Amino acid sequence: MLIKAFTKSYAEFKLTAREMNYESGKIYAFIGPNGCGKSTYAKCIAGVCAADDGAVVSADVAKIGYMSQASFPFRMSVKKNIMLTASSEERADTLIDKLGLAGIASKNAKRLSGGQCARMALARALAGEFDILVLDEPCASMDMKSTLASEECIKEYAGSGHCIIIITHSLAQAERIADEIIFMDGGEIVERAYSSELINNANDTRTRDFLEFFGK
Amino acid sequence: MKTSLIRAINLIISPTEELLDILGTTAKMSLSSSLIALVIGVLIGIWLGSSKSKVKSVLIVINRTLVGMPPVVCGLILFMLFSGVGPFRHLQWMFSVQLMILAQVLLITPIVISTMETNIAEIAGPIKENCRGLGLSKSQSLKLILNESVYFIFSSYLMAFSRAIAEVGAVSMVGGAIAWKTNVMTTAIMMYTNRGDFTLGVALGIILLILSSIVNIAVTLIQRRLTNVN
Ligand SMILES: Nc1ncnc2c1ncn2[C@@H]1O[C@H](COP(=O)(O)OP(=O)(O)O)[C@@H](O)[C@H]1O
Ligand SMILES: [Mg+2]
Repeated sequence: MLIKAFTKSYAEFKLTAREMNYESGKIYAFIGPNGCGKSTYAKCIAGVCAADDGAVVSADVAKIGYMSQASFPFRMSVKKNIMLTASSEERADTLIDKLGLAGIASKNAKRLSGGQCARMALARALAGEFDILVLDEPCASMDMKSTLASEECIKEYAGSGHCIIIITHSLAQAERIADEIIFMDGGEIVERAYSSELINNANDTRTRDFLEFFGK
Repeated sequence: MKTSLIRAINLIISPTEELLDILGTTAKMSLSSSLIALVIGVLIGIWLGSSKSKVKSVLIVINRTLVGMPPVVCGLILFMLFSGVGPFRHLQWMFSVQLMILAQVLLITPIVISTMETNIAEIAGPIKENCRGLGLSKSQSLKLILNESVYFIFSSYLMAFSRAIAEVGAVSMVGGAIAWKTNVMTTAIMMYTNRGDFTLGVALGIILLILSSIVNIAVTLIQRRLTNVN
């Protein structure tokens, strides 16, 4: 699935994204410093925000889903939130189970803690049928147990023939689940490689500098 | 002072026909105007708050000026339109409850629009982003926005109602405070106080105070609920 090259400019920031090809069944992790444009890239390819000159980036891809970095809990029960996207009740229940939401399924989503809300939002995204699902830091406010459970669900989703793009600030998470890692910096896609390759011998000095923080 | 207070309380306990008529006219006027203002205001407020455009920001500024319009100016404009020299004189609405309702709708709707627009503007961005990301339809996102704003709608209704019930400038100009016809609580208080007859004025004042306290308490409770929920 091809995502065209595009640009997106804000007053003090410009994203220049090159053409990228993504395959179904694979997981791609985007890493890079804060403010390098990861969320902007995600929103543009998901059609949540328009690229420059209003170009639609993903016209030839069937359906792209996007889980926002700031997930909004709708004023209804956790289960109803998930049913907004779920193709079947069974699908919703499976995710509720796997993401440890069974005890709070009938709770008003407005009353959830940060980590609970993040799990609900991930379940809501994974319940839908998307060719590409973009997850913007889905585990940022989760504890380790929930993070690992989430990663299992994400892998399963990819395993059933979907493509996952996950933005993460955890290199360990990228290593655990991604087939390929993409490094962004200063509004550019700097480097893309198989996970171990990028971590062990990055080509670009910017990538190496970034990885140094993680002791790699 | 003390005797008129006692007489006023007696009057509330066993109200006269005239007091009941004033309360009835007040209820008819305030309920109608606040409901009409609510329906119009909520729709326009959601439309204005849910996305940005140049036209909309101009409209928002115009609406803010309307919020600050002095009631007597509103009364004056309607007076000129509907009185014996105005273009709408053949409707014969001058000194009628309909015209008082119209005056109040003009005064209150901008307030509803303004509160709705501000509140919707805060939540519409994230809701739309989430809805689009999840592949939900436009009608579904509108439903979800409405579902998020039920408390805003309710509290702006109460605000509209309390403004309607307490307003005096515009309704006395276009209604004329005619006994048994267009006299409402506020205009009656003015009329009777001017005549030196305090009993009915004090009775109405007490009722008005109680009503507006109830409304204010309700608004506070809703606002507390809102902040708890978010
Ligand atoms: N709506 C916006 N208006 C103006 N600038 C924005 C907007 N959204 C993001 N930016 C800017 O774009 C840059 C990239 O942001 P973002 O894509 O969120 O970064 P990341 O997700 O990689 O941390 C930042 O400098 C941010 O300030
Ligand atoms: Mg981000």
